[in-house]
Amino acid sequence: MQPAKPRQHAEHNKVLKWFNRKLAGGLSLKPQHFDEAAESKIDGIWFEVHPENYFMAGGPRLAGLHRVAERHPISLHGVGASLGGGAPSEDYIAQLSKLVTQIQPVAVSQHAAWSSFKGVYFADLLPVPRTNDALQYLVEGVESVQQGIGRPILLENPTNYLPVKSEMDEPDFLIEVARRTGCGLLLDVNNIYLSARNVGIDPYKYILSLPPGLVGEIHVAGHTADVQHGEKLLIDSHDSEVAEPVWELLSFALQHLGHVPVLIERDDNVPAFASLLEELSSANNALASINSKNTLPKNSAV
Amino acid sequence: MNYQQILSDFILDNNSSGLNRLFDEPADLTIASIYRNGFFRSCREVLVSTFPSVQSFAGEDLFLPLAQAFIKMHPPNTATLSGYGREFPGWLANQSIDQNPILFQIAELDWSWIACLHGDNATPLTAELFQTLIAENQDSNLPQVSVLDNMQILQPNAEAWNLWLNLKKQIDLPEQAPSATEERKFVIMWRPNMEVFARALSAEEYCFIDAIARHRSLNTASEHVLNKYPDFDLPEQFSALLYHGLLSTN
Repeated sequence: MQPAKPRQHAEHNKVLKWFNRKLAGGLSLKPQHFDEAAESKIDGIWFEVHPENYFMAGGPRLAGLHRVAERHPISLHGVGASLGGGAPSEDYIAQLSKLVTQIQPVAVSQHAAWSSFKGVYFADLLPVPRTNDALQYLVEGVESVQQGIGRPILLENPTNYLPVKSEMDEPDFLIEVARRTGCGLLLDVNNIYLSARNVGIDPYKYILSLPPGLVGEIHVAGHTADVQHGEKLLIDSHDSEVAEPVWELLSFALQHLGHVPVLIERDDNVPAFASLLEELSSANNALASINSKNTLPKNSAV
Repeated sequence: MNYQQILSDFILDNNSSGLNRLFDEPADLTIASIYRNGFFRSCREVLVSTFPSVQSFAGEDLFLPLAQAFIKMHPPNTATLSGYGREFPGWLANQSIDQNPILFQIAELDWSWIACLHGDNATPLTAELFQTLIAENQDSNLPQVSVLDNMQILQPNAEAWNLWLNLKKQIDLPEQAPSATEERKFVIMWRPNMEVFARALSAEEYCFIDAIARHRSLNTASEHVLNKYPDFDLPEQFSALLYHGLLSTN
């Protein structure tokens, strides 16, 4: 495998930034919405899929993605790379690389998490302690994917359900990975809100510590209260509409970061396409209002 | 990596002894359980969607404990759940349950259907193209043909096939799928475009299709089937394969 040259990354970053100025709100793309998505005429719309769901030889699902990709920008948002455990398998990188070549996505993103260990895939985004050792594994993982697909990726901040052992704050941890690898960040505003509620981080301080220009994509999503713990434990379920406090946090993030494409993430209990478009208009409104004055809320507690 | 081992032990074996080295003390086990529960739930949901006929036939009360036991024995080993469950039919065959051997054969049919659905795309050979190929042929041999790469052949017993066909028809098998013939030893699934078809084959049909798949030569396959079944109606059977979009020139 040939390492991607920094110059190649720089070129891709230029292309990504150009696309990002053109793109507005985007939607998670599900097979039941392929036709409506392909036909959509909304200015600046884009779609995102989990590439692992398209690691197949052929068939209607892959064909549907190709159909949408012919009309609209696609972002690939991986959930299985397990970067927090070091380099992914060669098979994973080969399949991701194949899909990147086929789809030519505007962005490729992964999570600051791990999901595989000793040959078992846990189908979940599991926490990485913010230690120097773990940071090195994450760096190896990011570099490995970037080399494999020949372009930089965006790295998403995790949802925290319990406070992990840490030698540094989460923004510092992610920024350091970006500094060492040349990757950008994907800011999941819902994850920050949940981490604030679940483990008590300051979401505003978190967002303000991220350098504008480093964040290439934003996610917002719905969440649910845990059955056992209620509102004391919020789950990143992606199965409902985006909650009002998350929209507010999004507006704050956009004021700080400037124009960054915003994705409405929905993976479960997926409603009709028209309902998703209503939420999309909220994201587009938030993007349209970022030139208004940035005012910090008086009370930054969530 | 230690943190991975700690959480892996917790998720797979419910061993929580290391959690306080990963999380700030004291780690709340009821919260950490969301990782354990999430793993089993995700795997279970995939098994339910990959083996809908098994669940319909067995019922949730039997299927879900079976799924849970399978996940423990065969957790996913690739970075996607898309192909998870390949070992499920074989594992099911070895379980002491009243519904076997029917249940594992239904599972094999479900799995083959998914494999066919997500298999290679292929352009079926049409009668027009076949005639063109013959016209272009300089020698007396028939053109090279093969079966679709996404084709699946399996051998359920008649009861399992009929049960599966009925269950599948209630879900999403195209209505135009031919019904079972008298001899039901072999079942074929194929996807000429984006829709999976399934039908039972006679022993003669199976012999012919299998020979085409193995030899990729119509001449050899024809000789093979006629040697074994001299009364085999070759022109009619070949036309049927063309009509149903089972052949390709790949």
